Amino acid sequence: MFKKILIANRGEIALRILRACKELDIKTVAVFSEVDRDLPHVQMADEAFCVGPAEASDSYLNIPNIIGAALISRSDAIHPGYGFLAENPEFVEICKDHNIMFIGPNRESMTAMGDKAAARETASRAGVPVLPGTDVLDEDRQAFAFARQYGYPVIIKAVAGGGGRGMRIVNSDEELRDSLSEAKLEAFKSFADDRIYVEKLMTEARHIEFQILADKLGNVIHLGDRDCSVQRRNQKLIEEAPSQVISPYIRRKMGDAAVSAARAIGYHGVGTVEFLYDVNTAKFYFLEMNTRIQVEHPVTEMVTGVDLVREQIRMEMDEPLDINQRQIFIRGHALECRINAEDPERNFAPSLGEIKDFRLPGGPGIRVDSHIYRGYKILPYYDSLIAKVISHGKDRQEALIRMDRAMYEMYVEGVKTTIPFHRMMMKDEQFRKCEVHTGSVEGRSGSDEDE
Amino acid sequence: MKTQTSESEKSGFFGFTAKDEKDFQDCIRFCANELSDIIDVFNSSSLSRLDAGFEGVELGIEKATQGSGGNGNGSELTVSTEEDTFKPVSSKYLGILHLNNEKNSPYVKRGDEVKAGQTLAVVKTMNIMNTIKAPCKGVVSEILGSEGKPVEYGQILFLLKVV
Repeated sequence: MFKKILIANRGEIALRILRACKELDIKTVAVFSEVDRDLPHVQMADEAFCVGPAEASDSYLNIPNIIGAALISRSDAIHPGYGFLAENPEFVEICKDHNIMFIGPNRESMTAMGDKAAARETASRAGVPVLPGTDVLDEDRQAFAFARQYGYPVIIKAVAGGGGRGMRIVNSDEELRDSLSEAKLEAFKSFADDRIYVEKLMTEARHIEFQILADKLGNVIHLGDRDCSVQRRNQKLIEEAPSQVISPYIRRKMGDAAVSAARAIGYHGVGTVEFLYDVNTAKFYFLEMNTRIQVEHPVTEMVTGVDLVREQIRMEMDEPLDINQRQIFIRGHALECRINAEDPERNFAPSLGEIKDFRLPGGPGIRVDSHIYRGYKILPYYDSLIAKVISHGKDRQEALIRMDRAMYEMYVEGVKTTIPFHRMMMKDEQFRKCEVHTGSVEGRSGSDEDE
Repeated sequence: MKTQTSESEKSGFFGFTAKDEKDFQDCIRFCANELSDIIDVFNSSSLSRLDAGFEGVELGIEKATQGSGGNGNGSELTVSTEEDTFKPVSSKYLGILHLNNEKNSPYVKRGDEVKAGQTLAVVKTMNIMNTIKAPCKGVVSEILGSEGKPVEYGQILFLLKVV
């Protein structure tokens, strides 16, 4: 049993973890940077330690100071949230060396999925379909041969990338020639690993992911799917559950595939298996597996009634799953809008500044996960997410109406936000009819002025 | 005791006049807290330099230019009274504070004159010994941390009287 958990994160997810701990009667320790002293979770935690200056590399990624805080506070475990140290196998090892539980997968499963090329291979071996692609490139020749066989467009991916980072779309031989060396250089700069590979690009794909929950005894279930097709430059903006474009038969097949992928690496805790789905052929392909709690986990919580962060902590405490696959029912429909401090009119550029005033939505079927307060500053050091608004209704129509109302209620003064974009989307014919694919939003709200 | 009182009266910050040794310590702690608040506000502002004066006390903060390192806070901080200038020394590390060396004698005592770069204390984190060094030449005016107690990032451990 954990008596005390250190939360190695900030913002809404730190608050989300604190809430789960409170309900489990576990004490909490917050770590924060100098500019984050006033965050609600820092105020509410049983103990709080300043671990560094605003720059994330010196605070939220400062492993010695974070481990130091865990040791001084005698914390039993560290919850990494998402981002920062959540997918760092070295950190998992350091926690282990100091007898602190890391709330997440073990080093082996994290590494197996962190390396995108290895993840493809693992999935493929577990019988999960993967997109046609090359092995890690030894010579550029392989990439050209692949493009000739499968046709353009293709996508160059960094082995160490993921979550939309380290990717390049290529449409011709000339572009491929230039892009290969640039992609290698970029991958080396971003991840200190210049290995790349090439995959066939699906242009009108739907991004559908499955939530996995597994205990340490080998029981693995999935909690249904989420459709995250409203994206901009591979960053998700709206997520929903369940997807309206897959049939019950495909859903069962994808769910089974997700469970096999997790089983293949002996996974425990919460995880997400992402797929690309081709509506025209009804075929799905493994994309990647995220070995952490995700930003969009609340949509699954709303439709299944399962508290994912609570289950994640319980699984880490060696407790068994107390539900089986047959006991998972999807009730109604849920939507999540990410409210970022970004200006949709200026190509979604981060809008730095101070929140002077705001109103959060509420009422039936609305949940808000947010850490903002009057005077909260959006600084360049961290991501620009300021709130997640989740709506739940008996069907998609009701969830849409509620979200539309919530976006009408919500306002933020002082910085630009994605609220106008969401208002537009809730009224968008294509979106209402579920015809949005991963490439649809690029051309909206002035976002077509890409480099 | 009498000399103590007169000394603390002389060194009072922000117009505080301390009654005795204990009171003086409290004043220093209060001021150190106030100072870290001022530094926080300053650091998150777009200002690069701040000068302020209150009842015979002068405060000057300047942001370290990029690459020059600074001493933890990213800003250079000094506090001046009419006679003296003080420089707070804070911890860049989170860990257990050791004011004594392996031979169990203190690295520095109050009133000691120290050279720039001299070890004032050690903060032990994950079994790594991180030394806290004097940022400049000065006299140890106050020791604000306690032996064996945890300290966090940015916590002020010493006040040096600049000489």
